[in-house]
Amino acid sequence: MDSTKTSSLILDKILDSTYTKADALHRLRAFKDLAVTLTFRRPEASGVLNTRPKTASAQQTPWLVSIGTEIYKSFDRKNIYQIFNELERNISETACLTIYVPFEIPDSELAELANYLRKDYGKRFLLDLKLNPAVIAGTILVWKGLVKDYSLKKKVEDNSQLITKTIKQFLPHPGH
Amino acid sequence: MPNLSSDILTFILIATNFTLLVLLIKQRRNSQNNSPFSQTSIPDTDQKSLHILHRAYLKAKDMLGSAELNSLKMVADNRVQQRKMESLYEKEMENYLTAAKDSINKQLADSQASYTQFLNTLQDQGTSALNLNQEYIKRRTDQLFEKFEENLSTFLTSAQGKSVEAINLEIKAGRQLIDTYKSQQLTIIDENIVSMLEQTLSLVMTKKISLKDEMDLIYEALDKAKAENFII
Repeated sequence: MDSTKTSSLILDKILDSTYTKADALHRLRAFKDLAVTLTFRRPEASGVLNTRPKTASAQQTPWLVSIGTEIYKSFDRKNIYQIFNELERNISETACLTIYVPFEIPDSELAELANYLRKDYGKRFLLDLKLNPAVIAGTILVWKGLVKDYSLKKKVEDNSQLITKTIKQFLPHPGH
Repeated sequence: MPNLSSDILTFILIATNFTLLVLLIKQRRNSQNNSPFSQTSIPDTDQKSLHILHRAYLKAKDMLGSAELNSLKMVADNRVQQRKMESLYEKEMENYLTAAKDSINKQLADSQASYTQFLNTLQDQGTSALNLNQEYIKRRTDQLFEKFEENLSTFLTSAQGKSVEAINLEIKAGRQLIDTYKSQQLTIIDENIVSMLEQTLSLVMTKKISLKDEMDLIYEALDKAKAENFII
């Protein structure tokens, strides 16, 4: 299997259960550490999968186990860095929608949200979640440098004159 | 003067006689040399000549004596005349000096009087000039004060106008500043109202809105973005 196919297969596997760019890169780093360890310590490889690499977090271990051992056979000392460099480039170039939200979205809701978007924009679609308490009821989207504010705060700002006028009707006048 | 003229006359007579004598001697010698008969007539001629000479000598001697007498007389007369002249001169000189002294005294008195009069005139003129100067100074001072009052009045009027204009400008600027401040404050109040509303909404929505409602709002936003072709 050539390196391009290998990197594409690995990317699909990463994106199956990864919905944000930060998680994807984190997961790739953990996978790379393990793959490098397995590739350059082949004689002792049998026990490596039982102990997670130093750089991998406990959160990534289940995923590393879930992808099985078959994929590691496609790495050798010549292609491993080329494959992972290509993977990093592909993840960086993957379409990414930045979403500013006022609360932390649970993983289940995040998966549902990502899959909702992937239905329309394909499997290779990532999110970049940003927590911003100033956003009120809604979200702010950033796509390829363009910003779109769909929050209640934006609606309040757009209608601030009307709101102010309405509120002032119920306020006492300074002279009275 | 009569003595002097007689001396000169005497001298002229003596000189004339002497000249006649010399001419006669010369005539006689010439006649002796030129006449063929001169040798025969010499003794008579000499005799006559000598006689003539003798008479001439005597005459000259008389004349000389007379002249001496005349001269002595003239000297004496001259001395007398001189004394008379000196006396007359002294008298005339005394008269002249007296007259000159009187004249000088008179001129001096006149000069003193004239000088006194001149001083009096000068004093009068000085007093008059002083009065004129005082009057002129008073008139000029009055004019100066009048002009100063006019200028002061004009200046005060102008300054008052400028002050009023400046005050009006200041009032206008102050009103503009107040209006600007009022407008800014109203804007700040409006912004504060909106900000307070936003803070209130933020607090209320954070506590009251459920996760499902939050997710529904996000899905709604994504649907709008899809509809607007924001995500391509």
